[in-house]
Amino acid sequence: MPTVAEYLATVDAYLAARKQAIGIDAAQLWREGRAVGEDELVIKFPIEVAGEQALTNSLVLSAFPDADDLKFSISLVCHWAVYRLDYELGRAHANNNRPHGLDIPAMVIGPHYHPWLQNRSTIHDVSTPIKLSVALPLDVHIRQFDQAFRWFCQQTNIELRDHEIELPPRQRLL
Amino acid sequence: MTLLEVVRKELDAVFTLRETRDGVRVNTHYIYPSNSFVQVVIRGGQTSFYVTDQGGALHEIESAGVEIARADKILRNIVGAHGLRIEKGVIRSDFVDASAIPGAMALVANASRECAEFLFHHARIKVQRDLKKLVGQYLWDTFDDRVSKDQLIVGKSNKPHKFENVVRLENRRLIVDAVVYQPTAINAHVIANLDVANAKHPGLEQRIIYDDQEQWRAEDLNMLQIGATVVPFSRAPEVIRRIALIQ
Repeated sequence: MPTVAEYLATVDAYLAARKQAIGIDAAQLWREGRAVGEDELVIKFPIEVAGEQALTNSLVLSAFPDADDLKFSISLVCHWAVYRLDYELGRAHANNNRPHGLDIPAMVIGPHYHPWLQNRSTIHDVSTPIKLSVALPLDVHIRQFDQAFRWFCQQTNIELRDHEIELPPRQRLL
Repeated sequence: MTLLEVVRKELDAVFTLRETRDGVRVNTHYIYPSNSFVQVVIRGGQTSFYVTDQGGALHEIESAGVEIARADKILRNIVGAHGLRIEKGVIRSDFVDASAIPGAMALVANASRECAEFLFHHARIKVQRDLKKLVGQYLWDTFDDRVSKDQLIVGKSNKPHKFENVVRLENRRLIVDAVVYQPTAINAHVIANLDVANAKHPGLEQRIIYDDQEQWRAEDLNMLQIGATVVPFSRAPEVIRRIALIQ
């Protein structure tokens, strides 16, 4: 089990490294979210860093094709999710433990992301999932999955030229 | 603006009601571990309604990078204590009349938050160890150069199978096959062991070692047993020593 300092250093290096998400350049099948029976479909891509793919590292996309409005999540995982984008209109998030000295709004409503840098200092235990409790609003110009995916890959140093990832079509008629 | 007006304005901005295709979505006053507000959806007809978290608690933990198997089983007690149900990770109330909607909403939102907190507290980083390396090292320490690495043994099908560790004992050989928990690997190990067992090589013993620190499913262990006698890694030294002592 890594210490907090070891984990933070590992994630810092992981985020700084050039990464490849294996399989994003081919059409992929969405599978049902393992735990959530309602609406959620998931794809998980291994992440390769310097020729190595560790089981602990992945890029996870969640889609909700039957939601009324566009809704999806993109997470970069290193043991736990360390950078996440949640696209959902109307979703409210409270930044009630935001670190001092950073320009972070008290409330975020709507599409937002959980950046590593602003959450790093809130992490005091890595034996259980880290909470990424600080969120920032997503640029209002990002309104489509492709825009969000490209932006996320840029933020997290994931190489992306072309990709074949499309959100799944609606599953239910009603 | 009076204080009442200020508070009302701020609350109205967050605790919204939104009509969806099949219900009404509400931002509640409950907060998940990630600081997202718990949302519930109220569905129903004219006289009876139910409230659901739409799998929000499970999505919360999955968003943290954790895959939870058997969520319903893990969370049934927490959810049941609130008089609610969970199915495929979705928490929901029974059908209630209109006057009971606020109570059901609070119960579902509270249970959803409680489940998410429980999962956050109980999910652990998987300690991964290199079982093959550990087994190889143990055999080398115990049997020294009597351990042959990557030995080919022909099965009944006439196909040669490669085994990482074969120990030469007096008049016998012992295959010690370490298997990690990967569904695709399990079948290959079972087939190789079964084929070799069917060849009935004289004096050949086989054992499959699995890592009992990992959460193996019973059916996968049953599958391994089709290939050879299965030994958990924590008991392997004791079992292998015993086999070595048998004349």
